[in-house]
Amino acid sequence: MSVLTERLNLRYTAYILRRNPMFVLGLLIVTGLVLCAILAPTITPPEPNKINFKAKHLPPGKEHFFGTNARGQDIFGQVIYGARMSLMISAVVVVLSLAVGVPTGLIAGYFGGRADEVIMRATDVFLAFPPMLLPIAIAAALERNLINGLIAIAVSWFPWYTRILRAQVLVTKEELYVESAHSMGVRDALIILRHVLPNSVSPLIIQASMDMGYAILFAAALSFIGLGAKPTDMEWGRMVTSARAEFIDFWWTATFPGLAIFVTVLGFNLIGDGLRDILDPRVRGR
Amino acid sequence: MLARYIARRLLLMVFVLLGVSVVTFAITHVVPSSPAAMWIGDRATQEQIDRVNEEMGFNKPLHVQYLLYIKNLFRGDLGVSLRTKQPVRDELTRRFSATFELITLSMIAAVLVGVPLGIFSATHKDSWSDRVARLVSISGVSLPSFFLAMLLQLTFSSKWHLLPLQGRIDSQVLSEFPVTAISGAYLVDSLLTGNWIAFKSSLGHLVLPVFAIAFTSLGIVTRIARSSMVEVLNADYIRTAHAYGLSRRLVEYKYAFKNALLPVVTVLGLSYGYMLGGTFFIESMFDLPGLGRFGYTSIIRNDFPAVMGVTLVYAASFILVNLIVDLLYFAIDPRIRLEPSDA
Repeated sequence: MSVLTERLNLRYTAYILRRNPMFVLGLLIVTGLVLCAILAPTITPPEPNKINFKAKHLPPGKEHFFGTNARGQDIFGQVIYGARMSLMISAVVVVLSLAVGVPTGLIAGYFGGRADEVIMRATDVFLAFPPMLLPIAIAAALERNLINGLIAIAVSWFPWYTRILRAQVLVTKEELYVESAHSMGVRDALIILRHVLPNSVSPLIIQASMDMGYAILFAAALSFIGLGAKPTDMEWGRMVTSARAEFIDFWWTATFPGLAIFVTVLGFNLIGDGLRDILDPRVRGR
Repeated sequence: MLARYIARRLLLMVFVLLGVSVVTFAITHVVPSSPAAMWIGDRATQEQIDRVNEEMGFNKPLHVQYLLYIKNLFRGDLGVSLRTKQPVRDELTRRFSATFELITLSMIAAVLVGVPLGIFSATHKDSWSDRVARLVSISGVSLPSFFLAMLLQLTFSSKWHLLPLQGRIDSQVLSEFPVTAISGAYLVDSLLTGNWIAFKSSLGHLVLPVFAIAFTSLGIVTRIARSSMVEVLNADYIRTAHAYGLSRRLVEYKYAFKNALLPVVTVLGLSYGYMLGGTFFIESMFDLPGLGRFGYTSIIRNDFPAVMGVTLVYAASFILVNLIVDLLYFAIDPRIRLEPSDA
């Protein structure tokens, strides 16, 4: 049985939830996000992207909860639809990072030797860049659209996953159950998939849950430099950026999409913190 | 032992820097646009483009261009900006001081606020003030810096008129009380020459950008300071000190604090990296003439030698800072093993 399932029994979960209100807050936020994404068409006015210059820069009110922007678009509708885009961003970045990080981490940690040396030195190079700089540089080089922006983020994040997994695999592969599997002549591939990976993923899960939020943050930042979403995409960072010229006079144009980013990233962060409590009892409460 | 360690680290640093240059070169040279057309401008004829390609070496194979780039790099030549037609090195040197000023102040601010906040949070663990402090630190890493900049401009500049909206110094102040250039950093130079009016103006212009850029690092520093202090406070020797009847204050500030500081030192390198990235956003939001805004403009305009110049300088300084942090760590904690480790 893996560490994961062992720790996820109900009573323990209830206990964890009770003593960690911040984790519950995180869960509520992310649940809200998912609900917004699913229910977007029913809770927003129809066609949030519709341009109506007669209704531009209307302040928040009954008609438009979050006001309207320079093109008369309903900001509330755009922000709610933005939840869909955000979930897509989180999923793409984290899945891509895992897709490269997991195999490289497993190989480096399990087999060691030259493969380990090569992989580690390569991650050294990637991690030598200041955190935000590499995605910017890569995205600047590619054709400018959201998907390339997300690829750029994933390329600069996977080395973290490689390292986190490798460090854990180094510990796990010394366990007795791995040794006994070896002695029974089980193939390496099977040992890795059955025993090493399931018992090494906890730190990766914690990282990935936080990165779901950071992906939204980084994608928004790329949009700000013109490297992410197109002007028609309903992406929060793009909305904040479009409001750059007008937010001083019309505060609501930047504030609501910006708050949406903040609250969502906060939610994923709180979940990551909580998961750390659940999956790694050694650091409980730190 | 220490000399050998430093030598090894420096060697590794050269290797990593070379890797960084390969990566940046590769990504800035797959740009689909034609650099020659950029160089000439909108109405370039094919003939002109061919000539520029020939002169600048854009038509040579990539690996030849790279070797040429490295050769020039060792001579301190970073190429010529396609946009301004000036040597990239000069462009960077001119803008260095504004960024240096911004980051140094932000670093100081993040440490001066983050460490006490984290320590306080740890010594009041699970109280409401601890929860608030944790929420502040998580907010720091959850708030997009450019959005924070907007909120600050909205409240402190536009609404309350307390601080300037953007710029590095009041232009009227600068023309009436010119700052003698010594280091290039207005704050330092005006202080050295006793130019108080310019000092006040430049300090006022720095408050909001520093806040915006330091907030992320503040979150990181607070979080690490808290968790490491919590860990130390749980250690046996602290319990022993308590058992001896030493005062809480003495135990916390004399015995625990020192040991709790070590992880904070390591995270400073990472914070520095976040700040470097943050300059792209904050310098353009506050219209500060630094490296970050130069990088931002260069990206918008597809100026690849300039983008690569900024990237290289930032990466190099990040690597250097991390080296210093490691050495500092070594100096503070003699227990650290110096065996080659890559964990």
